[in-house]
Amino acid sequence: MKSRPTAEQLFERYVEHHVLHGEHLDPQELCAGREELAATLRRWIAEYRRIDDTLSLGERAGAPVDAPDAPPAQALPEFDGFETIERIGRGGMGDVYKVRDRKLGRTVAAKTLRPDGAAAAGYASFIEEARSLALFEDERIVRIHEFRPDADPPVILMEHVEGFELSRLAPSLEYGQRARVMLEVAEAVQRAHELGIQHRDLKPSNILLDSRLRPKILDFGLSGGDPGRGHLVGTPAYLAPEQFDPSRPIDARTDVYALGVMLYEVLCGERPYAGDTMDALIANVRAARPRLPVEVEPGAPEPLQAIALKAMERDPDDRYPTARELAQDLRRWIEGRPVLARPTLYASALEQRVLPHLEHVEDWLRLKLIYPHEAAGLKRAYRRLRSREDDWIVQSRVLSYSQIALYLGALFLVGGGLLYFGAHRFHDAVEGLVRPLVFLGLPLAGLNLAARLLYRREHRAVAVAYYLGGVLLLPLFLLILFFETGLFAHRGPPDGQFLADQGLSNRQLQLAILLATGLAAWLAARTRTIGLSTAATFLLTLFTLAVLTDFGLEDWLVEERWDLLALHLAPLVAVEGLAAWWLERRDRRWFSHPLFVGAAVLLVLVLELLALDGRALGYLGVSMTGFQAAEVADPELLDTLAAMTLNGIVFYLAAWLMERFGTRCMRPAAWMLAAISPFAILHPVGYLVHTGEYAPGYDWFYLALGLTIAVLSHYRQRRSFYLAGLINTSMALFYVTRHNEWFDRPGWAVVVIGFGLALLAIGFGLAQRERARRGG
Amino acid sequence: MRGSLTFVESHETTLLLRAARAGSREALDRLFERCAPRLLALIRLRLGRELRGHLESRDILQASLLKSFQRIDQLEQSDARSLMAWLARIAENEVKDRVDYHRRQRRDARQEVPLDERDGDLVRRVRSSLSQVIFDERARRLEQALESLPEQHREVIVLRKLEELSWAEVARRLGRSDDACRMLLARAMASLTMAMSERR
Repeated sequence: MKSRPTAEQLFERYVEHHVLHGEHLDPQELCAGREELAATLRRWIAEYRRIDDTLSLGERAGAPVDAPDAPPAQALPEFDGFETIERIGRGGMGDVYKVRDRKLGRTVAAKTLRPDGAAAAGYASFIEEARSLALFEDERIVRIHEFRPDADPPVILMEHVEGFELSRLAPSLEYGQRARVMLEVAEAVQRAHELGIQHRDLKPSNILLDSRLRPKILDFGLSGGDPGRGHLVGTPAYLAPEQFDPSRPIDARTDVYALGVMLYEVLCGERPYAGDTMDALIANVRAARPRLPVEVEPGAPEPLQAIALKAMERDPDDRYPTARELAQDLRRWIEGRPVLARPTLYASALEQRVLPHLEHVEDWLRLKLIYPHEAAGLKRAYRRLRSREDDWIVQSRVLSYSQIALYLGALFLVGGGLLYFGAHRFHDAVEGLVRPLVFLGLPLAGLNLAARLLYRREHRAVAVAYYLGGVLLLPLFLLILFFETGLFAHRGPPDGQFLADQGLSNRQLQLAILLATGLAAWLAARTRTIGLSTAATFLLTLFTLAVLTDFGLEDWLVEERWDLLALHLAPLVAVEGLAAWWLERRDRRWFSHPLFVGAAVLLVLVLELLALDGRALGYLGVSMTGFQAAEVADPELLDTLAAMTLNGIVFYLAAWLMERFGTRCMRPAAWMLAAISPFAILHPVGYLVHTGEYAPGYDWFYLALGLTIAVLSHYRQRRSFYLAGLINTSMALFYVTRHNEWFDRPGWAVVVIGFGLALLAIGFGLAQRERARRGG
Repeated sequence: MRGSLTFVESHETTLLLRAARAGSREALDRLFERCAPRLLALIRLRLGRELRGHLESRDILQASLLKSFQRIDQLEQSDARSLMAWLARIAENEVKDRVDYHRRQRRDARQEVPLDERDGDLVRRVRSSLSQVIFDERARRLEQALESLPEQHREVIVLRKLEELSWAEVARRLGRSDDACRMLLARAMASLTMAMSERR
């Protein structure tokens, strides 16, 4: 039996015929007897013809919506008093001609209008008004000389600019040049807005660049009508969503939108929204998610992309409120500073992309392709990605050797600085100011200078590590400087001076740390990096402690009045929390994250310190001493245990509340609290065993508890449970050995080793079984 | 039949080229519309995936076009079958030079032509027209599909379709007979189509 041809064979026959004979075979005839292949074949043939067209003609797919028609030959019109030289353009309203003023001898542009009485009257009053407001004083806005509404056709005579349309020139410009041009345009638009004039038809073809790349904006205000209106005037691709909706007001932010679309197009050479028909285009402007410019043009700088997307937010409230803010953000990028724009698109794009992945994870779990803990791990990773929301492009979290080296370097630098400080102040092994200047001062100044330079040259990661090292060296250097020069030294008896033995006053300590805190905060705001804002948060805590030296910090430490230390630190929890909340609202998320985490760490510290010696319950006016057995030596033992248990619950509740009702930036802090809570709840048992009160059997119970928690963590799939179990088990092992005084018993050690080996063997056995189950 | 058609087309493009050289903006635009996208595709393919990251294809396109204006007088004497074939030869040489330079220097060989050069006006006009050459999504997919083809398939498409070489020249370059090359092109186009449909 002769084998029947496949679709591929039929298609090859078709292509062969076309290549060899230049004729297209009829697909119907081609698949005679195999009609079921016709659809596939037709699809392939259509694709083939498209490819062949593309390769042979190189025609662009999808002509722009406002593409001009092919120019027909036409006689040039005459304007009274002018000599017409040539036509230089045609637009929706009419043609533009280059003409020479016979009297003044200058070259101007003449823009003809369709004879339409109402529109002409509108222009007349607009031009009158614009001239009275000195709109055309701005050299970035094309000057209008004269309007002749009664001429046939009506004509506007304006400044003639020898230049090129932005849309044509942009792809050949560097991104810095493109940003500078857009900055000028935004500033000119802002100036017009201040005069109360909106453009409403901003588009790249309305921006001309002269040979020195200075922009000139054409057609200002010529879209006509009163400032509150302007629906459906202008070029569809650049119209803001509100311009399609007569019920919505139009204001300066409509021009901001067009500036955003222009920046988008200038960045990647494509318009954000396209459509084959006007309806499709409008639908896309209203609802479609534009591609990111970096998806179109991988070289486009992310900050500029963020600015463009923020300016063209669908909701005017999400855009820059004025063109000035847009210009300022552009200037920030040009000057190498971080921009403030965080378009909502980033978050929603990430959300959209992560959700299908999460569904896949559920699927895999259902199909038993992965284990529950693997699913939990994946989900956690995705959650982390979502919480990072808009930083995902800016900050890569991939660990590289360069990063490892940089941060290790900063660590060693600070460690060395501390050692040097110790040698100088604690052991008097260094004298004079010269050597500290060489070993601390020079690296400090050098690092800051290098960081400044590197930051400008886009070596951001290196610059931040250098700044970090510099910031942490600063207080050490300042302290030595203060000591050697005697600046802010304490006169009189050294009572209450925290570092009296080291010859340092409280004031010196406070000032040194305050200056470092300020520098860190300033650098963090400049570079927008979590590393520096974490350093600032850390230094802020140190500064608070330095201030507390004036309130008797030394006495509290000596007398073990942890509760007083805790109570004095408590306001800082509120300060950091509120600052974090305020900064998040002001879009400074990189600063908000570490502050929330810092507040959470302090909260844990304060509450745990307060719990010691039963003080927390004491402050609450409760005491459980009455329930305590008489032979217990520590009268507040029960109170301490109760407070510690309460703390664990408080941490868990705080974490839950923050996760449930908190803002995005609170999440890392919430996770930290949630991770700590199981350990905090178990902690009292460890403390009880540690004091050795009550029956000696408690240490064995503690060991069993630690093991149980570790094993039960499988059920809850909480890593924090597992870690708490491991830590408590090791602590219990220590207490069991200590209470029984088995430190000198090799037999006990052998038992523990044997238990460990047995568990390792069991682990292997379980792994084998799991693998067999997975394989089968 | 086909030969004479190409001749008419090439005659028209020669006229356009002269007009563009003389300063006609319209001629320049038409010219670019006709050749630049294919030239860009050719340059990108010739650079290959690795070098595309290092060398700016648009720069090479720009340099090739500027060279073509400078050597416009040589077009008529050249044995090129069409304007595209002539431009392709210039572009190929440009690519070769840059790649050699890049390999030797082992550094970014981007050669920016400064805006105010002696031939400034022409450079500017070329640059401004370059914006019409949009390397869109479809072109990108086509490029990827081409690169996924076996080398002989890709080569025959590039030589015949993009560089517009004569069959004799294609045969010489590929070391096959005329007819074998035609069959090869048919098979190559068929597999390119399949690759493109899979890529949707």
